[in-house]
Amino acid sequence: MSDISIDFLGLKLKNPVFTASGTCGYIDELSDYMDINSLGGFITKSISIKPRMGNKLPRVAETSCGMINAIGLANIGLDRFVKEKLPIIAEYDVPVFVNLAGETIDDYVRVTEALAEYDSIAGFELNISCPNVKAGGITFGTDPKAIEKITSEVKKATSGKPMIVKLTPTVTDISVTAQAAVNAGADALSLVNTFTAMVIDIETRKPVLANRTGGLSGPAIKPIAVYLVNKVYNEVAKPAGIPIMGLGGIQSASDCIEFMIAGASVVSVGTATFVDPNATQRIAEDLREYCKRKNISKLSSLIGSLE
Amino acid sequence: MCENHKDNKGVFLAQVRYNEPIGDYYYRLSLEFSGKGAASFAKAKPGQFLEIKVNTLSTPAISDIPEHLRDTSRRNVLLRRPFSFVDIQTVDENKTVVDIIYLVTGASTVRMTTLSPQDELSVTGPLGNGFSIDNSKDCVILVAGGVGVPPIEHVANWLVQNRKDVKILAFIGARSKAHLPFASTQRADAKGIEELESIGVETFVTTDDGSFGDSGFVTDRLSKWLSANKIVADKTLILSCGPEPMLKNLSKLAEKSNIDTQVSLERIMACGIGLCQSCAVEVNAESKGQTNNNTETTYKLCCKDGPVFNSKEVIW
Ligand SMILES: Cc1cc2nc3c(=O)[nH]c(=O)nc-3n(C[C@H](O)[C@H](O)[C@H](O)COP(=O)(O)OP(=O)(O)OC[C@H]3O[C@@H](n4cnc5c(N)ncnc54)[C@H](O)[C@@H]3O)c2cc1C
Ligand SMILES: Cc1cc2nc3c(=O)[nH]c(=O)nc-3n(C[C@H](O)[C@H](O)[C@H](O)COP(=O)(O)O)c2cc1C
Ligand code: FES
Repeated sequence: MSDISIDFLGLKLKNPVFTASGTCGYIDELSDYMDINSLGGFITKSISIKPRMGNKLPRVAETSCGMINAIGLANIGLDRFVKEKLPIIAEYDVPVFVNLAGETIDDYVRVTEALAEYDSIAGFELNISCPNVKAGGITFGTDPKAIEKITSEVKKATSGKPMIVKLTPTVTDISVTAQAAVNAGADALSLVNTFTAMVIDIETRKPVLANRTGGLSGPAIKPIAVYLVNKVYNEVAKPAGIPIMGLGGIQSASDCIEFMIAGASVVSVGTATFVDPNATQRIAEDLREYCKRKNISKLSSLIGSLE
Repeated sequence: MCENHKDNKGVFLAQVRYNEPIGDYYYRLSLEFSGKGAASFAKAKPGQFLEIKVNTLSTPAISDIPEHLRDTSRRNVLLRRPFSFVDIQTVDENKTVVDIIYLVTGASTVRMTTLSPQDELSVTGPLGNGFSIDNSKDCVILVAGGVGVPPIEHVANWLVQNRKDVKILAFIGARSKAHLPFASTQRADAKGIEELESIGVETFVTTDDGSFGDSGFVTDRLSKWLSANKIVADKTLILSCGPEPMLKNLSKLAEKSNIDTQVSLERIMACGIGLCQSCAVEVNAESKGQTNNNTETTYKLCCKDGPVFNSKEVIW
């Protein structure tokens, strides 16, 4: 029997498949469609200190093989997350990482401090890469100095829990931003967040999204994401001995394996869940099938195996 | 608003029974569910909806695509598409038939026209919350515009079968005769909407161009009717679905007449199941939405909290 378990940040994961932030709710939203406990790990929607209503509509538009979104980090906020969602999270047997968002470093730190004490939370994912908010988000994620500052400040607040830093691909050289995060204490890197993009209504000659621009996700971005994961693996993560969570357009076990060969230890799945609500569980099952068919006894042996 | 019933929804395979055009613009697609899908959809209510996986469907031959859609339907589709029910029939424990009517309007509905009997389709549902009709009402006024007709036709049939005590009236509007999504009105000699009249629903029809029924807007027709007829406002309920400007006018009219009104809203939906927050509906803050921020308004999700909303809570 093939072993598809993965060691990641001191955790023994059942498999490498995570949900991607913002596409799978806070924990149990998908429980009608799949077994949440079958996941390698769960990443929550971004949580900010105060609830956020999000941007004006339209917030999404479909494109060929993808979609753009400008949700604007709509979320229930820290207090309601603690009161309503943490008790449910505690019932699941799956490592849960809370994705953090904020407008100031202090916002991020306060959310992290408040959540770090809960045993039911395995770690954090620092979102400094959302392209759809005016303050915070991507403004932290494009400047290496700003990345170092926020990463080190938030890291101090995690009470020793692991922290993944989520990078934006909308930069000239992603290795520079990746290195900044690693220098400042990131335990892992996740890439990519969405690519800044636009869809125009040719009848009105206006952008379709109320926010004008949005973030492109889905199969359309996968080859670029694979390239970026491989680049960061070779130039930053491998030398530093830090694992990568790869994401961007994953729809199948083969997509997942492609990311692992490029250098990802684990993957997350976002947009595909909108099309198939049980996509994450199916991908994990298909990974096992793949390994069996190919006689791969340990899936982790594929990580960074690009020839 | 009632809670989603946890174990009732899911992703199911459905088999196409038939997929036939209604006039120039619409198709009626009949789906058969078995097993768990049959059990889930047997419990579905009018006003709820389903999501069809369309990215595996093929594109028709170019000559079979309406001319104005040929260019835009060349793009690929990815996301599921939401549709309301027009009819649900429980055949037996292991078989439920669900019909929808769809307007051929873009890349995925063009692809849906290629479906033929025996084809299998991945369907998510039943989703959202349907219309709720409490026992204090003895008169239900149905108001529908264009492609908003299917859930209203469904609720009309549901009322006839389940609430024999209520009087039902229907006000149906469309751009033109051809835009009425009924098989009966496609005939040249059509007199009325047989689908509704034959079940005893008194029906009023308007078209923007006067090609069928009265000329004008359906809300104006309703307004005229309300001034000419005595109704007991608090025993009356309006259920409606249609374009947002129509629903907005209706909501004003209902408020003036003090009649409880439920509107079924449409939003572009990326997921349809409460994950993505793309389908937000701005509502009064007291109706406790997803992201209450002590502001005067907040957002609810059309796919999860709706698509049916109380007209008074919606910020138009
Ligand atoms: C709860 C709900 C119930 C619905 N019920 C029905 C129904 O019973 N019958 C029916 O014909 N249609 C219904 N719709 C609308 C239907 O989902 C859209 O017409 C369909 O998704 C269009 O897909 P397309 O790829 O063919 O068009 P696209 O190429 O995606 O778009 C074509 C046009 O349709 C508009 N559109 C796209 N998606 C939606 C949407 N979700 N809501 C409104 N407009 C949209 C676009 O803005 C564009 O103008 C419903 C929508 C919702 C939200
Ligand atoms: C609707 C939507 C909402 C998202 N919200 C968040 C979010 O709140 N925080 C975050 O870090 N990333 C968010 N993302 C980005 C995804 O987590 C992911 O990085 C991106 O979509 C690429 O993966 P995919 O192609 O598998 O979707 C969102 C993406 C989508 C499509
Ligand atoms: S469509 Fe995704 S939350 Fe409603």
